Amino acid sequence: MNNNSKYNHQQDFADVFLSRRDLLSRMGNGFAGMSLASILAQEANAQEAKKAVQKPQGVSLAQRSGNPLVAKPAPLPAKAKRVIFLFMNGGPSHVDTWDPKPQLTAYAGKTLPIANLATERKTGVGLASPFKFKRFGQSGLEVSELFEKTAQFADEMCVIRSMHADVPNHEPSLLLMNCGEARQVRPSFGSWTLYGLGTENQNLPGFIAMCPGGYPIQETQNWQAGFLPGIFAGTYIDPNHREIEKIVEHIKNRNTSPNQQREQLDILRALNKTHSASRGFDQQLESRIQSFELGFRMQTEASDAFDTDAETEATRERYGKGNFARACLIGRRLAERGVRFVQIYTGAGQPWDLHDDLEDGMRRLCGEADRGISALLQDLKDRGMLEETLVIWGGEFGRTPAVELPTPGANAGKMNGRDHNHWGFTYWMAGGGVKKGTVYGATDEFGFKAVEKPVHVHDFHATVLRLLGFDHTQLTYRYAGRDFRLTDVHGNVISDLIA
Amino acid sequence: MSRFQSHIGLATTIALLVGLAASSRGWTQAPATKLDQEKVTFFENSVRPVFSESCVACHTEGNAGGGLRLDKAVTPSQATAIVNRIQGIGGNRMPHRAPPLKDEKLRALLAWHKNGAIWPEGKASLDGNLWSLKPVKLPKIPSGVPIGWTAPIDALIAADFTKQGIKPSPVADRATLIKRASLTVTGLPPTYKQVRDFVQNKSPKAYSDLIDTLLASPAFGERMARQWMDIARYADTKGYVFVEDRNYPNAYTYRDWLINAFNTDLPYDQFVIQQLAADKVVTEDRRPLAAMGFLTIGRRFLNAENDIIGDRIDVVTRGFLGLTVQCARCHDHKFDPVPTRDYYSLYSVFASSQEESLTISEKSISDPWNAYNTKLSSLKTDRDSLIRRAVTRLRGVVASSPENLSAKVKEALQLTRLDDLPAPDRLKTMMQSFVPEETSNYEKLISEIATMEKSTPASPEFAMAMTDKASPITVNVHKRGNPGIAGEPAPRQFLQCIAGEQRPEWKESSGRLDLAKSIVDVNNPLTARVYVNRVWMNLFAKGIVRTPSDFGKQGEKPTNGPLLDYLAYTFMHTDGWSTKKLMKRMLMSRAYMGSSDISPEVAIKDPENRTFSHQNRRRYDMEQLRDSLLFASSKLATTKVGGKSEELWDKGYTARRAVYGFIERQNLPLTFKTLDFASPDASSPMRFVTTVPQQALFMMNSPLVTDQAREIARVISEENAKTNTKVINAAMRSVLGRDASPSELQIGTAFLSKPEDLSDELLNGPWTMGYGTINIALDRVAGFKKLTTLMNGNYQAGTVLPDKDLGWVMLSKDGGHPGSKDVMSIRRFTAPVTGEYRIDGTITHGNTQGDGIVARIVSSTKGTLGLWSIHNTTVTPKLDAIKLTKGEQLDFVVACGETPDFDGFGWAPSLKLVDAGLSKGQRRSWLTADAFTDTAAPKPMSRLEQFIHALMMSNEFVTID
Repeated sequence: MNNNSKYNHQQDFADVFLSRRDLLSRMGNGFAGMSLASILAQEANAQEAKKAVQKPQGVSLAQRSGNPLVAKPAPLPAKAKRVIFLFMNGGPSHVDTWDPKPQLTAYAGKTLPIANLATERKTGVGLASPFKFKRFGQSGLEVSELFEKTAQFADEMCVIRSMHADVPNHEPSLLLMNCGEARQVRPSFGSWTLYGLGTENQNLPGFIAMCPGGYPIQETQNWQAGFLPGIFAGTYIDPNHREIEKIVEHIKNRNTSPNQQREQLDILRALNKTHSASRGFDQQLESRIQSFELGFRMQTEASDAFDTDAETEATRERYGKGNFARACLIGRRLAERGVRFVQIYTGAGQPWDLHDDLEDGMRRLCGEADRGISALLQDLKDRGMLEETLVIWGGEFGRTPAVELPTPGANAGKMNGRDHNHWGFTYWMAGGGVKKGTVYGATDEFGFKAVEKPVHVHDFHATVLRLLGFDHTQLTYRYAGRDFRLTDVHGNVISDLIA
Repeated sequence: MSRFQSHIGLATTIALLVGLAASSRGWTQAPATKLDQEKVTFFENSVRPVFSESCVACHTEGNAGGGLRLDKAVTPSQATAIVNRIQGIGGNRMPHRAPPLKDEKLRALLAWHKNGAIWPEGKASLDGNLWSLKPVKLPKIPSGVPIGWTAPIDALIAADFTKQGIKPSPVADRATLIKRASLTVTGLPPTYKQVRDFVQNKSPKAYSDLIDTLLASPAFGERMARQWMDIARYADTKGYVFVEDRNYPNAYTYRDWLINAFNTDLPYDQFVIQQLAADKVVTEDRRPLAAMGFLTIGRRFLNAENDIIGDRIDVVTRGFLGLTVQCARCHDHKFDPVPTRDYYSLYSVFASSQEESLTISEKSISDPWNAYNTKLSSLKTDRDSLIRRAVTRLRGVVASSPENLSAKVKEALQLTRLDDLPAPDRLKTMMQSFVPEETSNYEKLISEIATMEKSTPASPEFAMAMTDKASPITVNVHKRGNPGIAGEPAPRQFLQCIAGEQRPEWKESSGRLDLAKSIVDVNNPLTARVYVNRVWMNLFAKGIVRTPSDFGKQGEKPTNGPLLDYLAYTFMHTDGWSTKKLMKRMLMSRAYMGSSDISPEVAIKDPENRTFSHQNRRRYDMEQLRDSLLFASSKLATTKVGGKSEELWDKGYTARRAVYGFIERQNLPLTFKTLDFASPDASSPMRFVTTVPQQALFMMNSPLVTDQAREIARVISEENAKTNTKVINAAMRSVLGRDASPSELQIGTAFLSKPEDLSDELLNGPWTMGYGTINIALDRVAGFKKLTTLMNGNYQAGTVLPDKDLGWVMLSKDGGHPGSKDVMSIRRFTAPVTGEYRIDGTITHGNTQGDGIVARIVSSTKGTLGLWSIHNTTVTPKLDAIKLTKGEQLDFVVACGETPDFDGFGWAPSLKLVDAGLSKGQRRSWLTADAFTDTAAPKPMSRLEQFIHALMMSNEFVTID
């Protein structure tokens, strides 16, 4: 890559300045001239921009600058055009799913011959996985019975068994996984993606976070825009609800016909232009203008995108019941409609946080997840979308191979669960140009710690950004005197994960 | 945000330094010489952080790569090996498999090695370096500043921007000034008349008078209180609890106290003292007790005392001191000079205190209430002892002459435990054997109690106060935050980094008052700095310190230290802790009055406006937005100040200011979050500002907004203005406080002259609820008429059911009822597009009585598609998908059998387009529920209403320049 290709914020910011000046001079005679005609001209621009989406290479700087969300070509060749990130919040156990450990069975109920690493709580002897593992696909990927449907796609997958993070606590780990930084306010992964690539459908948010029943821990910070413009923040949607008004608050206009509301927003735009014109460029004002257009279009587009009733009975049946499964189906509909980044959490709080009753909990959670995720992969494959859709599965960390010891008030005095484990856990990716049918890295023989080819969260981010067509050290945003990036000062691309 | 975030977060980078914390011998080991001092400072500032960030992950206890640990002191030979390896000498270059150390870090380690590689135990010198712990001094006021920038605040700012070659923005115009001042001081916009008067007022005192008026307004206290409520994590509920009542019914008394404190300009030192220890200073007037809500309105954490106290320590230390003391709960603070022992000293203070609900009302209210309660409880005691005596007597009878008692009475006695009062039904049984005197006395008491309970006197108000426990407690340090591992005792005393090693212990009491006094001690360098910075942030949108609750090492330094000190010093020493005087200083500054427009030059040199060379443009926060909406329609209730919390958003929302909103901590309604409200889970230093389409949807579609637009239009229409210009100006004045510009007049006139479309079809979608009959000969619906009244969620003929002419005919979201043989209920669907539709929905008649119903689906072009006679059963109509042409009607008709009795039915049909290849965005399904809302569907907005609504949605309406 040459130095000119640095695709950072500075350039865009200057473009916006120029284009505004340009726009104003084109309007010529001040605000009396700011009529519906000029609004129509902008609509035309939007049309052009839409055409440009199909041919990203042809997007001019001027077209880009008008709307920060217009699709932009990735600077490096890449297959992944969009991401569906299945986030198993709470921390799913890897030794019960994607990382078989026969030695753990051998040491069931015995003290492991390695020191238990420090995790959130005290752990004791080895806890064997109660689940059977089997080989799947040409690649012979070993997966537990819990994900036997999803495992049918073994040959599409690239499984990383050597992930590791920094601390065994939900809050910082969620932020690390989502924003690349455990404490401070930083843009989320999805926001960075949207910032870098824009989105293909201007009528829907480019980054949608779904979590049935409420928020995960750390709530909306998981999809925050941080210091990036607010327009890059994830839009939260609760897929629990069937009525569109419950899914997106205030989505339904009960006061004005759609045509009249359009006319109303046209004069709003005209009034806002008058207001902005005397104030010079202001990102906040511009964003707010955009947000009304987005809101207007959401009223119709959203109803459609979230209307899973439009799917056949057979399709809905294939995804199965439950709101995570429904979110998977919605996720596919959103991906079809060109939404750039979809993140689907399992549920409010931390459903995978099985400090006790691991077996029951895993059967319950995986039952729904396996069906929904496999249906999603099937649909993407059938539609020819999997090649350019990067599907990611994982949580904020994994779980200990050693049993969690009873703690009053914490795990109901039981001793049948696993503690948090940031030392080693599993992620998998499918589609989007990953090296198919691969297992990368390994934890120790019990699954406690990533020992072979460890992949830190920063490395993972760097790799995923590369799959999306970015050099992670070059996707930057100048803020408070320095260029920030998703991986901050860390991260190495793991090229073995890329086809 | 989790209350533990900062705590856990800090553990992240150097999580593995626990070894250091545990092995640290003493925290303030004074270095011997000045040279040593410098080396220690250098080590702490430049060397230890490098090890922490880049090395400790693989060189720590339990993970000592190569046998080396960098979480504790190293030997000289290890130090040599370290500086070699980081240069790639003598083995793999370190850090292994990571980028090499940046130059400055490399140089720091080399210098450290060269100077003897000293490794001080503990973290001795941190406090000496923390800017915020240095004494507050009155700075020298610079001279030679630009004209107009000579007042001390301005001179200090001008010195800064001049140095950076930045030109300040000019003074804002008067209309901007009054809007800015009104909204930042009172949270309310000025009226049109106030703007006009101020713009026309040529007096040199005009601005100063304006500021005085605003500061004297009761709305000032409401605005300031709400901002402090962010710090105080105010909520009206406890958060998650198992079973008990989730509410804090008396939380509002804390808010009332806040509003009053600001409006009466309670000096800030007293403000602090009352919130921590009003019980120690309260006199005749007991209302200050409510101030202690600051401590008690936090989350309850399932009543875990460690966490409740942790939350209190957090709100006190971040709130007043800008110190993240909670980081020291498990280990010495990683960055700031707060040892774990200090955390537990404060813990001892709160563990020595208890919550108590104390009345704060005047004697005239609390005395009768107390008298009433005394009397009532004495009557109840009399009643209970009467019962006990009677029961005892009866038990005697059982022993002596059981034949005198009925079996039932004996059984009731048997079933009642010896010490218990009998349950009501058993008492009733036993009373059969009461002697007449017992019965009459009992009945007399019961009737007296009933009479008293009918006329309860006005309840006094209560403070969520704290008082001292009978004997104060000294806890031991919980090692690693674990209450099970006791460390050294942590006597009740103040923070060492502020009060010094020789600070006194607070032996006599809980120490809350001593704590408060230590916080507001004029030698405490933090308190005034933290507070003046908060006030500054409220007026300038950005703080001088941009991390307003973290003045520690992880926070930001002040952008203008002398300015911060000037404000803090004069606040304490000149203005006697007066918030109003402090604010007046700020508000009268040239800096406050500057325009928020920036030149491209400033945008590049100082994009974050760290110099304050200009004002900051900002959008309304949630409260300013909501208040301004109701203010525009003149609906905002501003007369009453104080009172209980009320619903802000849902149906029947309050007309009071947003500060009075009910805050449900556990399930904060979405609208709060959409509008960037401060999370009530923990002390919140500042609001986020996001821009998301959900905010736009709130402005476009929420009843709270559209109701106000309609109200303004109603008032304007009543005025019967003759010209569009007058109408438009009236709208502009209400919403934006000004007249329209020529271009806006043009825009508005063009819009108002567009045709109205007031039909309600467009709102209810393709559904019409009505009644009619079937013309059998033609096989068509005949005489269809609409049911015009929407009541309780049902469409019916009039407000009275049954209707005198049409009987019981009505339709609900889920079903309905036919009227008579000729008055069938008809749910009509008019096809919005041509296409193939699938019809779904089951028909239920659920009554054995009567003779059932006859349901039909009838097309306006094809006649009856299906007919079902249903009596006490459920039927699922099986119809093929049907092609409908746009405009074609499909009627879902229900007739009664011979009689309309017992003919309520369930039938909520829906239609779905089944065509393949529909364009994206094409709606595909229509539920009958679409036609129903909880309240009557609003009338479509007129053009004038739409115009006013557009003004409310405008950037200008929500922007403070």
